[in-house]
Amino acid sequence: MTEYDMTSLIQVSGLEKTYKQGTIQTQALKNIGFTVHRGEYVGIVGKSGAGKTTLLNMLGGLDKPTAGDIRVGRVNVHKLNEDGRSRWRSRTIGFIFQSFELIPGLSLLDNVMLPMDFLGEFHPKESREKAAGLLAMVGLEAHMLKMPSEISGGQQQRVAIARALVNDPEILLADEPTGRLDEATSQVVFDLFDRISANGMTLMIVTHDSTLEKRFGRLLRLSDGNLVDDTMREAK
Amino acid sequence: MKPSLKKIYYDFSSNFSRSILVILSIAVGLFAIGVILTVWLSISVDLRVGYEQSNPANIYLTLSDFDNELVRDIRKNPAVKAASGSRTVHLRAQADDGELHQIKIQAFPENGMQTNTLEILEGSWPLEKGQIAIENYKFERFGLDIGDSLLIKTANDKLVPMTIAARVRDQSVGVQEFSQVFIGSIAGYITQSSLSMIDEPNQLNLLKIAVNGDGNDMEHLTQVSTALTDQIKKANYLVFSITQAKTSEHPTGDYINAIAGTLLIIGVLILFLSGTLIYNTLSAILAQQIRQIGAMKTIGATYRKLVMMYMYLIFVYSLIALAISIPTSIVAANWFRQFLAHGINYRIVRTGVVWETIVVQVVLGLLIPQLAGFIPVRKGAKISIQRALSKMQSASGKRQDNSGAVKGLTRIFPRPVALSLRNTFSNRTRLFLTMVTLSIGGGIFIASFNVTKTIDNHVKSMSMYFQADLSISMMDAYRPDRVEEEMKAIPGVISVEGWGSGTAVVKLANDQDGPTISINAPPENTTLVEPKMKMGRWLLPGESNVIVLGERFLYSFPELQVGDKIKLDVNKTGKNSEWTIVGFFSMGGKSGGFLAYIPLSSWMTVSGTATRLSRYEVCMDESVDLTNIAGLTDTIESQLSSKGFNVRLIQKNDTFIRDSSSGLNILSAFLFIIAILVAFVGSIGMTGTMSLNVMERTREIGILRSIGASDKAVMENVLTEGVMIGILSWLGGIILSFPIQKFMSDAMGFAVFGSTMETAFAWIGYVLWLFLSIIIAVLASIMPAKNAIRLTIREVLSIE
Repeated sequence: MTEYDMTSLIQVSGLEKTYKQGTIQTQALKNIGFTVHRGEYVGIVGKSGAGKTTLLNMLGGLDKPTAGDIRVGRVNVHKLNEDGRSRWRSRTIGFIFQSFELIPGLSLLDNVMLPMDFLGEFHPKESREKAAGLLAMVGLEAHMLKMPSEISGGQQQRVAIARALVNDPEILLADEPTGRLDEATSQVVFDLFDRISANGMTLMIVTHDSTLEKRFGRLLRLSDGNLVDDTMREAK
Repeated sequence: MKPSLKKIYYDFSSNFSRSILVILSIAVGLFAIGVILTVWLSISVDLRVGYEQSNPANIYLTLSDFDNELVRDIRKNPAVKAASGSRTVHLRAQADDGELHQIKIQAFPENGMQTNTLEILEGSWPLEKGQIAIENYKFERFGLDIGDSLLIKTANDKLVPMTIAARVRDQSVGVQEFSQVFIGSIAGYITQSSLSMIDEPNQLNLLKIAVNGDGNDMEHLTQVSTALTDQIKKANYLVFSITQAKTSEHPTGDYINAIAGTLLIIGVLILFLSGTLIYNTLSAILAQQIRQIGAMKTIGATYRKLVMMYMYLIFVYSLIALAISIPTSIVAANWFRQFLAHGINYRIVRTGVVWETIVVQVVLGLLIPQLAGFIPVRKGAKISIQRALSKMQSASGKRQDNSGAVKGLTRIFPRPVALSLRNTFSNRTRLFLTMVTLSIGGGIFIASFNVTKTIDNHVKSMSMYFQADLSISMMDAYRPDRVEEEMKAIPGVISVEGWGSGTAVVKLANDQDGPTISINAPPENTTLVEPKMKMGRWLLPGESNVIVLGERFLYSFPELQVGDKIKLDVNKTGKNSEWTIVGFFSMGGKSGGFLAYIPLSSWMTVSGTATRLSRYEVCMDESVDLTNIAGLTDTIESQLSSKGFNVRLIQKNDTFIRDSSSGLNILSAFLFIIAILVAFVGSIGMTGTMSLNVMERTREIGILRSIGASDKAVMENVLTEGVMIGILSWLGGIILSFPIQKFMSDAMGFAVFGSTMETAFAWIGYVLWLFLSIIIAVLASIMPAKNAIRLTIREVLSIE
């Protein structure tokens, strides 16, 4: 087992998010605060509508909070503008969606190479080798030239994981990554997360599947926009 | 290749029909600009250089008969660069169908002409005795070909066959007629040796002179023509008329400028339409890719990177559009130039590719799509990830909340129709742009038909001065009562009016000769003239020495007013008479020629023909077949000849109008081409909008089908939406057609007639555009609707 670097990586304080639709206001997050250390394997759990995805989107800089701060390392994420957040995210965050969000016209290899293309710091040969290596890591080396439509949902999510890892991010965020997968495939995907976590990466994963909770080293439980439980535990 | 570039190529190829739509949207604008600019840039060179190359005369002097000796003397004058003499005679020639057409024949010496060089387009040259060349411009009026025989009716009433040996271009056609190129008669050319065949003396009567020095300086031309006139008069020749023309000014220059100006406006409009099509299509593309944009932003794509990606896609579209539009516009422009050169009687000088056009096309082709596409691309790339992923907002703008409207509509219409109406207005930005595109298109389309009708009516209005069926010119003047008596014995003849008819020279203030004008003197009680006055009034019974002038005078002598006196040498008797101007009548604007009407009694006094007249206007019974003009002419001639009357010409007045106005056909053809082009642009716009609307609603269509809507119901729903847009744009087109028609009509009217024309409306334009709008809407809706129906409900509902 790799040694955890338990220094503070993510600091969330006084985080609030209110959505407005016409005259109706919905408070999705209420005064949330916590700290995540490097190498932690965090599960964000709660019922539907609890604010899990909203919190993850804030952490990834996909959405702006109504109030509060999120610091990742030395960066106050929401002090950055949209482009700044994109650049920061491409170096710091790997993001995985429930619906995979692979680009349909690109092969699996190209999908994985795309973030490197956006970052613009890799030689084409280097990025190709790296993407191929990651696809091999997720067990898809034989399919790398296939299109997303030619593989299963589980395989697509593994490609999305490879894509999220390709720029060597410090943090991997995943929003219901197994929400569209069957139980067996979900296990395969979470096995992969376990391996990644074991390598020292910080993972924060949103899930509503209680059977998967045992895998996390820490659980953040949300209810109605409030952080109601923050439990450190021994991951299995 | 980088993955981001691969994505662009995937976007391009994954929906080929949508890509084709964008490419066509760009290409059609570039095509129109290419054609228009090529014509615009080349036509000025063609007109100026082409005309100069024909060594055009600057001074045209109509003289009493002279021989080549005078031409040689004139050439010795240091102010003269070149001079040539010809004999011009106005006769008639029999066409294939037996109809007689006016022909202006120019006979020139066998050794050719120094000025106004003819361009041989077809046939053999030089001409031999008995051969005639016909000017290209109205060649088709005879319905004959090279090698066919053309019957020339001489002044002595003989029919002389001449072989058509060549089709030639004479760019000076219309110069002497004050730019009446389009309403001039057919022009023919023979050598001097053929003059005797058509009973004409072997003498010349027209001297054409190109001057040394600045041939575009009217002051210089006036000085030279005054000096030459003195020289000619000293040589004991009479000078009947003087016309001056600039070396670089083609007789149809004004007309061309009007066409070119109209073309340029149309070009700019089409470019604007093209821009809106690009905007609409790209908005839809971006709207479809919003989730992908969200995903790409999440994995690190910045705003700049995304904009660059989509701008690159637009760049690819532009390159393909340029590859299509440049060669096609070159071909079309060449065809159009040939068409104009034939119709407007000029020579194409600038050959090969007009590079300036290609440069402009490339610049516009790369710039306009980027500009038009930037707004939707910017919107798409700016969208927040959260919104992109939740598809809360589309790049093409917010879809308006129409729930209230739908509720209202369902009270009036069945629910499926209400849904179609809701869809029509759901994306108002796109609807607005589509409406603007189609309405401008419709406006131009409708205006094109209306302007054609306006021109047609304007030409027809000239026939109000020629209301008799036949016009008979006698060799000699006869007593009208005797001619009328004999004519009325001919079956079918209803009425006969004897008219005074001849020419007069306007005497200018310094007693110099002004233009030669045509004089008509109808009887007091005539019913054959329905004048339309521009100023003043028509002739009144019992008046004498009063005159009404054609509006052409107002353009040449703007200082003339009703009540002024004008001095004339009627029938060139050398005696001047003074006339009081009582009015100016409308007739063909400045192209109508110097035409004047005086009382018959005054004509009889000043013309020297006493009570005898040589022109008779004849009205026939409706039962008489006027199309069989040959048979009718024979009957009338034999009847009159048997009683001792020598008939010179019998002409159908409508033939005169048709011959005169045949040159204007090019205007109609030109307007028709514009209408077709605009209809094409409109159809692309409509196809784009409908396919995008249906594409965006594929999921909604799936839901409709899942709850029981039949394919037919879905199809009806989509078609209703299309037809609704078609009808709305038709209404918009009607509104816009008014200002567009006003602009086009005024531009054409001023160029050809020198005046505005009375607006006319052609119902066919309105009906045709409504029909086309609906057909285009239906066709544009059917394909995407069929595609949507073809998908299974599961496939449709899985579409994100």
